[in-house]
Amino acid sequence: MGVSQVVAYALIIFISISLGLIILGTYIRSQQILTYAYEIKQVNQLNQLDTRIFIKNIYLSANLLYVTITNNGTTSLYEFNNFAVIVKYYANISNISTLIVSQYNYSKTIGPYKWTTSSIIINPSSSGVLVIELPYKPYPNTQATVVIATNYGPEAIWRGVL
Amino acid sequence: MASEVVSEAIMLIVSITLIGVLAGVVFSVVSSISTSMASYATLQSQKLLTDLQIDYATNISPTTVVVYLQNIGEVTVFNLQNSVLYFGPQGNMQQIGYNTGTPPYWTISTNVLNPGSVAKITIYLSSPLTSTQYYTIEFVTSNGYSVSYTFGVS
Repeated sequence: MGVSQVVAYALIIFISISLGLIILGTYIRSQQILTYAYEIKQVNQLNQLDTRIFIKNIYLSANLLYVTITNNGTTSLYEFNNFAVIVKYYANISNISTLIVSQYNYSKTIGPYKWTTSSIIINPSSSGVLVIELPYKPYPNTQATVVIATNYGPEAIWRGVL
Repeated sequence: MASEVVSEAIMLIVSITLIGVLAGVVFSVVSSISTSMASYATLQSQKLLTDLQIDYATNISPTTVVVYLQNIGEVTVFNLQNSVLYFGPQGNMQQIGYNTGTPPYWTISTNVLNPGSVAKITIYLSSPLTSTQYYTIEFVTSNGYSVSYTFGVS
């Protein structure tokens, strides 16, 4: 075998191994990304399955709506910033019943279209009170709907008369 | 003897040149495959970590529906206005265009939805809803994630 053939075979083998390693490296990196995503998704799905809330009681005082929720799941609830609070009700605006559907944002201090809670964490099998400030007083004896959705997804819906 | 050395040298140069050209072509193809694999993995992981939920939907007038869409996933969802929205009675849904100005159309309060955030979608209809009917909303994001919600008219 001539020198040129030896060099040619050696180069071909070296280049083949290099390219194989590049493909293998990319494949392993891709699988790592997917595996990490699957792990996070699995944790999220478990949290969703383990979260269960229930609206135990609703009490109205002027513009303030006091919503008592119980944590019937096994996850602790504390990411109130990521909760969704939605209220549909008929407001008393100049003695005219006016439908208002709106989302309320979490805040440390209460204000119109905001909600707060004194609880830092709502542990499993315990309760917490959410205080929602409505922009107007409800029109007496009208239907209302309150939706509380946790950061994990599971939600509680209350329908009744305010 | 001298002629053998010369021919061997020529063969060596030709071999190295051809292998270099071949290596360049193959490396280009391998590089393209690697980029595609990495992009696919990234897109798939983004899709896996996307999780949306319609918290609530109701009509606020006979021709207007509001929908609250919450991001309960781990990644920010971009370009919500490029999503596809279907709305209609169960079994008879139709695609609604985004912000066409002529009913039916839909608008959204934000184009970017961070984890934990809520977006408000408003659907403007061309004909009034039927009070005894159940209606379904299906929202499909640009990366293929789909979420639906059924409600009764109030």
